[in-house]
Amino acid sequence: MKVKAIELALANLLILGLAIAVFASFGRVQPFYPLNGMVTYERAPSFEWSGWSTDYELLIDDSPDFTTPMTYHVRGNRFRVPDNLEFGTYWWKVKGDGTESEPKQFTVESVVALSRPEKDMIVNRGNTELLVRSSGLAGAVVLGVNSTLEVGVDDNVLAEQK
Amino acid sequence: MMAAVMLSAQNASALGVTPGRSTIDFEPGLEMTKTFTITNNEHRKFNAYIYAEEELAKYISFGQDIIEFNESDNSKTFTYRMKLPERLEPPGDHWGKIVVMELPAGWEAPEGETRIIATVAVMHQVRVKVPYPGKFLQLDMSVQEATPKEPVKFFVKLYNLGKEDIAKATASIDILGPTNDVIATIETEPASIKSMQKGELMAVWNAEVNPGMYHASATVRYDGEVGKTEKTFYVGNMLVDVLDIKVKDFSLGSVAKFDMLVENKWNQPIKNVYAHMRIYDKDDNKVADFKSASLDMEAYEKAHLYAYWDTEGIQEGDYKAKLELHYGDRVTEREIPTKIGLESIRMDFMGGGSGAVTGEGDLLSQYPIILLVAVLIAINLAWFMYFRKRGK
Repeated sequence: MKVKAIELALANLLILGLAIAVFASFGRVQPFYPLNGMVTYERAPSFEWSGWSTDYELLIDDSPDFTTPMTYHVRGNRFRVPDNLEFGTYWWKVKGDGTESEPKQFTVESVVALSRPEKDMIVNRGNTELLVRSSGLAGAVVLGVNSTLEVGVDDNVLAEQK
Repeated sequence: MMAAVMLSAQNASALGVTPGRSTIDFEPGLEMTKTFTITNNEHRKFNAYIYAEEELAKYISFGQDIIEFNESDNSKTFTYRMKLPERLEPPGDHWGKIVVMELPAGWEAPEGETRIIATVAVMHQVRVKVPYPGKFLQLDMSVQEATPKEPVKFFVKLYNLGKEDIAKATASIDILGPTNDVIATIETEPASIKSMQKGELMAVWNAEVNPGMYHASATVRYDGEVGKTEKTFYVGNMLVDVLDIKVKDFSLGSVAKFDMLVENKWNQPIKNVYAHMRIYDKDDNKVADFKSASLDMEAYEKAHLYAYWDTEGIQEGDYKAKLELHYGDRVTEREIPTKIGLESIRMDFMGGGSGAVTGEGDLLSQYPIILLVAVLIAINLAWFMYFRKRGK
């Protein structure tokens, strides 16, 4: 009888403890995405976090101490930054529900990519403006992301980050 | 043996490198190994021919200069070594470029033949920053834009390219309106920046102004030196709004003249403003598709756009108009319930209204927590039942 009472008490304590832990985690803002340490090629990345508030403050900085952050007031748990970020490493965190999340780090990296879907056309398939030189062109041409450029069918084409 | 190469451009080639640039701070005799990734996201079979060029080419070396890609290869990592000299002059940026050239399958010509191919090549840039003597700040500015009455943040980025630390740097930012008059001046807090490190100064300005294009001019003072950087930025979005649409003197079967009153709410002129209207019946069949002539609008100007529609064969009834307003590089669209009568076209139109889009929360982002709670409850219930059974 005594053993049974102890076991029941123990089980109830466990349930209570877990319930408190779960409740406490509900109250905290948890950043999800971008994942910590992630490298992204998306210049204007999306951010996601959990929490029960409706309004949050998203902070993004190129310094882990958040001395000069970009701040966005967001309604909801997702946000895509409106402008392209410079290439580099950033830290982000979210404030809401009276709490502040742990900072997470991510890196925006450049991609220099060129496609030649037709013999006489090239397309900038990367995420940055390109300086393009072609054997048929005098000088270099700046080619925006997803922009196309007519080239000679016999031209050699060389592209680099602007 | 490879001869030269044939001019026959491949049908579709996609070649990439990431990152496109690596930056290294100069140190005498620095030796390092670095990597970048060559991407083949169209999964083609080709050979990548790799070589280095420009000033730093002689300090760059790598093991293989041909890398084979098969259809199954999405990317490959390329490793190169750098051994910098004891001295590199002058101060500033020095460049080396590693070229990755796609050689399509069958690029090698048989003995005695000459082949020429049209190649595609991308570059991975290697930039070595050599410090300047004394104190030297490279400046840049970015702006976190906002809508009117909201705070706009200005970030002055400071790269100390000098050999000496900078003890104190501050920036004063003048904000200039469309007529180049200074409408506000804001100051940043001071910061110190160590040699070859970067720092940032920030200032906030409450944009109690009309939507439009503005200009920021920052003067940075650091340890007795002065530098400047500038940036054009926007408050709000370029907006041309439709205020009213009228169709006067109409009779069904004749040509309807749509008179659209539009307003440029931007503080700059906007060129090539025109309307494109499509009208759909109840079954979503398109019954009309017409455009207005285009016009150029001055800042804050109101003007009329006229568009004409021949209604021959059109029945009375309820329709839906989709109005696209084109201006600058933007398009705004709205749906307008439209009632066509024998002698009238009534568009249920509410002028004005346009806003920024922000992210919306949804339950999806809470799923991991909900799932976790469900699992924990299930585990605890199971435990609880187990203990109760054992007790019996």
